[in-house]
Amino acid sequence: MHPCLRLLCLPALLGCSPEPARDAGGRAALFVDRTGESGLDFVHSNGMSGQLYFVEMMGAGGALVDVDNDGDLDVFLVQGGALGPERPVGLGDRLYRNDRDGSPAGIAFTDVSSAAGIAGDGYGMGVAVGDYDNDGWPDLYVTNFGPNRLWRNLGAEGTLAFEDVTAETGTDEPGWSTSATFLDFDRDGWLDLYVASYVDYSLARDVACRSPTGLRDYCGPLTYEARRDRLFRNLGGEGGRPRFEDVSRATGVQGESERGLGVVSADFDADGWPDLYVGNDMTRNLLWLNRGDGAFSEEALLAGAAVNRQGKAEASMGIAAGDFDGDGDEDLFVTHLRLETNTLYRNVGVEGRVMFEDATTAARLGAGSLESTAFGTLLFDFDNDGALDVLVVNGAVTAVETLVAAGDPFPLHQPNQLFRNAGNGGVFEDVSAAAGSAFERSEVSRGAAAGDVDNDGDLDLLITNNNGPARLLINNAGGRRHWLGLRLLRDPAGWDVLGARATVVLPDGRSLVRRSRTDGSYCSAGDPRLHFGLGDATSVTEVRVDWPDGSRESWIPEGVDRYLTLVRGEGRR
Amino acid sequence: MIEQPESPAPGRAAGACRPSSLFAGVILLLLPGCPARQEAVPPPPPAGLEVMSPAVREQYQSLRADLDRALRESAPAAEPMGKLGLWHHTYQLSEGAEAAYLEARRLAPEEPRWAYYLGMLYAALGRTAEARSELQAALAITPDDVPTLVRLAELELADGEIPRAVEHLEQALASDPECVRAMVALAEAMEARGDDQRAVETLAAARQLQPGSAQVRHSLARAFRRVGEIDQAAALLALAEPEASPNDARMRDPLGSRLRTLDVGLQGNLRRARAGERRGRPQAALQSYRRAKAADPDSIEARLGVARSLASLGRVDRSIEELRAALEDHPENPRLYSALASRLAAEDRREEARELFDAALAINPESRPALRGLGDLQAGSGDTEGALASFQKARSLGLTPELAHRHALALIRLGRHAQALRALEEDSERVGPDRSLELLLARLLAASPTAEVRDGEYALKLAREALDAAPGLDAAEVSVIALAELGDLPAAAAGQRLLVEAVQRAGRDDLLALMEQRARLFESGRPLRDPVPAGEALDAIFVDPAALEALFDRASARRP
Repeated sequence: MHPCLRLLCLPALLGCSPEPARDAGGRAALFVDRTGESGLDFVHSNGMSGQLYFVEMMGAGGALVDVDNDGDLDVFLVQGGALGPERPVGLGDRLYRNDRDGSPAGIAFTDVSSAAGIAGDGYGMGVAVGDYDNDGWPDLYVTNFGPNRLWRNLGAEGTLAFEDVTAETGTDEPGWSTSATFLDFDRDGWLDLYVASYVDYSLARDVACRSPTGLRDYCGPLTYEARRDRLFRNLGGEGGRPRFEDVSRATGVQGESERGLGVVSADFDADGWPDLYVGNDMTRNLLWLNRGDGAFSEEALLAGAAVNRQGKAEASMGIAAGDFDGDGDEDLFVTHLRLETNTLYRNVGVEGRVMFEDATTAARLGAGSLESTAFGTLLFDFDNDGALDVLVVNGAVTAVETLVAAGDPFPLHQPNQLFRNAGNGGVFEDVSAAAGSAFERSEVSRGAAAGDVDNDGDLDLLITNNNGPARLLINNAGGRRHWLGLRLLRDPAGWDVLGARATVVLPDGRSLVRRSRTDGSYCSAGDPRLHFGLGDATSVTEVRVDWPDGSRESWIPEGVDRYLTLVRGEGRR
Repeated sequence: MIEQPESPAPGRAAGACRPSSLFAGVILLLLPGCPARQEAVPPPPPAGLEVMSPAVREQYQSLRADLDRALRESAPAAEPMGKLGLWHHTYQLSEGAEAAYLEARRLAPEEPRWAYYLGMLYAALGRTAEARSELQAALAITPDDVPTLVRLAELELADGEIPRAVEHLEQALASDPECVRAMVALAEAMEARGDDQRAVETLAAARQLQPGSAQVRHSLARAFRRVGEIDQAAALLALAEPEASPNDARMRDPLGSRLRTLDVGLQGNLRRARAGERRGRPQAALQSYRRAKAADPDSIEARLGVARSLASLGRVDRSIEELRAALEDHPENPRLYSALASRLAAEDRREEARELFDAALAINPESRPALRGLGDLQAGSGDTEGALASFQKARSLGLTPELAHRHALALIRLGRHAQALRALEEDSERVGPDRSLELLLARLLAASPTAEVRDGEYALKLAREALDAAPGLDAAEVSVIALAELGDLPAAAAGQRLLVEAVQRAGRDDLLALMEQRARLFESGRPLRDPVPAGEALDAIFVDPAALEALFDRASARRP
């Protein structure tokens, strides 16, 4: 887009702001990159040595999580490491505490990894966040190329400390794990854990692959055997130290595992039981419907979410779940390889039968994705207009021709994309050109997480790059419209109840539905608080909460543009 | 050599409306040039050309030489320019492809192919508006070209321009009423209009025409779901399912498996064809493979089966024709290159075979059939080191008894007997019992010049076990060599004479001299010190087991 056109378009995107925010180059922007000044100095290292090890092009994710319960989001970033002929050597994940001073620009992070004892020594891939022991402090499960780690947040006031409870809890997976999610699949009040696994690969068995022209290049996933995903059931134990048991076989999920990269939990068939959707690389995706009797049945093919319109499995990477069309159920957005479109699956299920339709073309999300390989993705309302927009972060997995020609040493980088939901049942427009210099930069992006880092009522972004710096993009678009933020807690001392669903009813009768989740995207975890963009609405008629145990309560909140904490049992039943 | 497709439309295949593949360029790479009238500016050489695989690089250099020649001689250059674009397009080098196509189109504006390919390139890259513009330009030259109409309509559908898409699709179907791709797109347009029932009818008709198509099956299943026919949808999708895992069996309605047994399309015919092959009935197999091909002209397995059956019936030229035609339609498929190469190699057309194996490996450097075939060619031409490298790579990608045998044999030919012994022992454990591997091991144990490798007792045991299973010359020969190694040279000489008779009876004159020479060796009191097998298909030569048994008994009685 011509720069002048870009400026002309911006006021419409920003609402009625007389002075749109500007990025470092002084230009108006929807998002501004505040990485440098925030103290977030993390640079991912994939250990590339010229050997083109398969693992090095995958990259890692990160999390936005309030680990110290001080009301603002901290940042956890998963690190890679050095790759040798035998085994990788991790460089240590990093935890950055948010020390914001309250001023609009006062975002300041401090690296507290060593003090918190959470650096780890694995070659990292992803992170899942949830309070597995119900002590009110969020815990972290870090997936690795190699043994995973469950970090228990010790929750000491004023100091940050974690302990490795992987062995104690029985949650180890020694292979190559990618995305993971905490979900309470048996609705017993304790978070269980699903871990997606990629392929059976080791550095010693790395295969030298070539491009069609015979040039040395990274391998594809089908070069290696799939590794099975794992489901760990939390055995619970009030006030104690919960353990998990591996129920992958008993629940049926081990029977169909493929090359998993993305996973998200949601109640797709609206039966009250959390289901799972797993995105697999070049093999069909899986939709595990929770039968409510301790087992899952895989229904992706019949539900229309396993393969593309041509009946072909695609290279799925990241996943986002959310109600993009405002009809109250959760839809899916799945990112894919170059020359495949990313796919928007509209949930059109009726009467308890889950059914998806490929809405990519109608939503105008297809053609714009063909030239990029997409990983992390979000369905989030960046402009607070009440409709979920789409973020896609890109980075190739095999050499990009033009970059090779230019002599680029890591020829995989591609710009990221932001699509605004223009309403009309979910038609999107590419607003990347107006999103700021961060969206003009070309990097090898992998993970993405959304959260209100500066607590100003709009969703900011954490983007991780393979062999590059993490980026913190502060939202300057949402502040012009009204919003409401919700924390849903089991008890006042508890942590956010993942899987709880809130419906906000607006004065004009419209309803907005959001679920408390940290999962989705690629190898990343986001803000569990529910975020509602309200557009021009200055009040909310009602908030209804559906708790995972099946109970429902409602509240009539006073005022908007603020965060509310809703505790189970305190609403009207 | 790959020949030109018959249709003037880009990539159009006979009898179907299949739009041109991105890889159709490979076909056209080898076409003779056509005249052009203006000076052309070629795209710069692709980055990394010097380290591309030799076959790919040579393709480029040859095409570039054609273009340079045309430019030097002020000859028409559109055709060589366009072919250079196809080369780039084939290897997903989009920038070079675009530059070359644009030049070719400029030089020959009356030629629809370059606009068509440019449109296809832009469509694949998501540059929809440019793609539509190019396809419309191609259509202006050839208004009834079905592939162009269908591709254009698909882009219009993606842009939500349903009436325009329907118009183009109806035009395509008027020219080719059995164009399945047009039917699928038309059904999609109907769905977009909310006419789900007509979509079902259209897709059901498409499925009649092409029952093996996954796209048709999935589209029809989707349409059934939309009209509430969930069971019908489930039944169709079950056909596409892989073998049920135990988990599936526990959780799913078994409707799918019942339906699978009723499948009379592609899969049913393939099953029958394979059974015919197993039972040694190549004519019946050929018929079933042809029916499978009719059910799904895109089925590689069906086309390979037709070619294989034709060769089994001695119709080698037809088999080669069949493979060439399949390759024209699927120039991206390395299996077809390897199959054609193997057939040509069997006809001693080694250079052509070598080129095709190289082409297969350029597409997939990890193609095991190509590596195996290339290894055979190398072994046959005395390049045993090269053969060993090919077999080693193929073996690392997946072990089969045939590969293990070839690999060990190459080691034996190179005199690396200890290494061969280790490889045979390891591979035998990995692949399980296999007669040819066990006999090669026994032969090595009996006849290696390396004393540390030899073990006559074990060799004889292995050979006799093989003889008990099937009394062929392969096992008998090794038994005799083992007897010689154990020092019972009179028994070995007598046994070898039995083998000479067996070879004479079988009419295998190619083996007679060798067998007699070996009998004389044993009669002169010397054992054999050459573990390389005597020839091919020795297991098909019958040796009287009773005579051999008597010989073993006598030899056994003589040994301490």
